[in-house]
Amino acid sequence: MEQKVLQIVSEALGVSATEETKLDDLESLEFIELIRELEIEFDIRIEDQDILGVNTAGDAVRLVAKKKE
Amino acid sequence: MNTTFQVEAWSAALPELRELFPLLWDEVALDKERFVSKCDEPLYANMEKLNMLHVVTARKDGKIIGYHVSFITPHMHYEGAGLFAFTDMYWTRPECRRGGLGAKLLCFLEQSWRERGIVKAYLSHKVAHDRSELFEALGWKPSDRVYCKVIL
Repeated sequence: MEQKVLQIVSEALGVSATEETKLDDLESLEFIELIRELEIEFDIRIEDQDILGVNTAGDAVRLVAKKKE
Repeated sequence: MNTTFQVEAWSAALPELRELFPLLWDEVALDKERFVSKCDEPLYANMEKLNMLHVVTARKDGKIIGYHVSFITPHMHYEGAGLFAFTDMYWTRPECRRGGLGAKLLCFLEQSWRERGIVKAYLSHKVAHDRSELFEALGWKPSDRVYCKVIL
């Protein structure tokens, strides 16, 4: 799961991402598209309040993991 | 330090917002030669007393890096339908716009409206600053096309 999330984040950023990689280069629309891609890929629902703390690729990994529990 | 999002009282945020309004005006306002940025603070203060303002801020290291202000009122066409939110203004610092700041601000805003019992909200963008793709990605539907004209 972690590798798949990092792969999706890498594709969004256009560079290879690690858990420490910040999402600062994403514009708002790109950021939302990334969230939607994660929802589709992992068949999860990410609520508005969930995305507020997503600042790094690692945050995205942990969010998906939490939603898959 | 990560960005925080919160609902704030207009009067509490005003000292900082006052310095940001001209930046919004400078970036997006039309007819600038005629309408110069000067917030009618007594009028806003009255609206705050009537509980008709909703202010959401994004702060980083304690400093406001984005805000959204809306007017909260019943809709005169829909008696008993509940409270509606009408966007007054919003802005984020250009140097902070990456990383999904605008999207996060809007998501927090929607959540805060929901908690306040708002049943429907209106949001717009300037034609020259098209945000339609972002708005629609967040579930907003286009409704009106607004025109303006200087009359006097």
